[in-house]
Amino acid sequence: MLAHLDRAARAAVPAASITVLLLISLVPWIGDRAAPALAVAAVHYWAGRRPDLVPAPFVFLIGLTHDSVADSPFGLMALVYLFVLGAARSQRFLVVGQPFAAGWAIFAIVALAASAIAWIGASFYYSAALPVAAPTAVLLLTVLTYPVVAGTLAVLDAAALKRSA
Amino acid sequence: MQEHRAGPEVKAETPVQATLRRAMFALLVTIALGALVVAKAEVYVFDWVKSAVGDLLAPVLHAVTVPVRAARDVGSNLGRVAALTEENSRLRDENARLRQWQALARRLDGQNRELRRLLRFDPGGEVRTVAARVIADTGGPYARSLLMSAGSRQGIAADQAVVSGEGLVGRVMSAGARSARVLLITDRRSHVPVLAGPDRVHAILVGDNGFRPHLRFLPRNAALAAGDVVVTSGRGGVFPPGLPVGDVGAGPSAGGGVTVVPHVDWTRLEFVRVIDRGVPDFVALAEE
Repeated sequence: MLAHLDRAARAAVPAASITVLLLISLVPWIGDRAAPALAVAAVHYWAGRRPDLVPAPFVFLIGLTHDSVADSPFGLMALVYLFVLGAARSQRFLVVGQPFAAGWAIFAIVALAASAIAWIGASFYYSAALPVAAPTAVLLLTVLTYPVVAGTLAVLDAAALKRSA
Repeated sequence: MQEHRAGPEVKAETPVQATLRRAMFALLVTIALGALVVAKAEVYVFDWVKSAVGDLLAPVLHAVTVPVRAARDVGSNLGRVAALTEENSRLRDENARLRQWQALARRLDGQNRELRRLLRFDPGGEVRTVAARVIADTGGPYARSLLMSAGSRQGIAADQAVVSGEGLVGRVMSAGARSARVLLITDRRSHVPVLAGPDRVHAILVGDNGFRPHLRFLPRNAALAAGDVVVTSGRGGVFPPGLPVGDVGAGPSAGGGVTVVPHVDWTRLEFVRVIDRGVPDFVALAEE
């Protein structure tokens, strides 16, 4: 029984860390400026390492929660998170087992593509080409903070999941 | 760093499991795309979902806000210590200038009261205000809004004006029971009737999801200079007249128009005040 609970708690670490990072990125910490999309980095990290613990319905709900709290066009961030999940799953060999610098560069490419999808979706929603300055700032912050996010998640990964593996 | 070494082997899926997983993924992508298209056609269709999620997460976001804001303040305060002497000197100069303005304001206030009394001017109905804490903001490039910790239980309703100590923040877009969403003046859905410059020319302040909203529908002969004050005009009834909004910016907007630098310091926006003017719900009245 206890072993079951322990396994379930450990298996919940990826989903819990994605949720916490989403909440942190949504609170007003730097105001009406750009904030890094921390949950995007977390989905990329876990989808590459433990795709079995990051199911698509969960990622979809995280996206809708993001859309609801951040007031972005409904469905937009759900689409973006699903893209990141799909990219990491289908190209898992590029996400896992690479030197850190290569992994960082690959995340930068995924984040750039995700940002482009979000921009196209939002421009479609508003029927206008939106300014690119703010999305670019978000993209840069997301890519620059990736080592911190990935480092923190690696510690969690080692402590909770690899020990139980 | 170690995190990019080979991860644990994931249990292999059967062909049926893989097919089901792909089908589920495709279905969710389709739903997300469908939601986007429906939301575009009928903007307010998902508002109740957003309100419900905001209400549900309001206590959690409130709890997360406090330590995050404390950590941010420690960082920014450390940076400010170095510039304290210079800032002190600047504030003294500013204080001296403000004292002159205070004397002038007092004189004009007295004169204003006297003229109002002579004209029997009715300043309008009673204004009630509700203070609330900012518990979430978008920070995202596709919407400029925030969630605040007061909702319909505190008397908050759609279309009430929201201000900070510095000026106009925006208006209430939707209110849940214990949280409400505020549409900021920088959002592209925001349109605020304003008066600009010493000639008090009428215009509409429109956001573009960037950091500086711009003025539209300005008269052709409007002569505005950088630093001219922009205030709400009160037209349309949503915003009370005379609320400070910002100053005319130095450079033109992306479309070649006049930009406005909002007075509100978005990076330090912790509390807001909602102005309830008791404006009747005309739609409800018409339906009665």
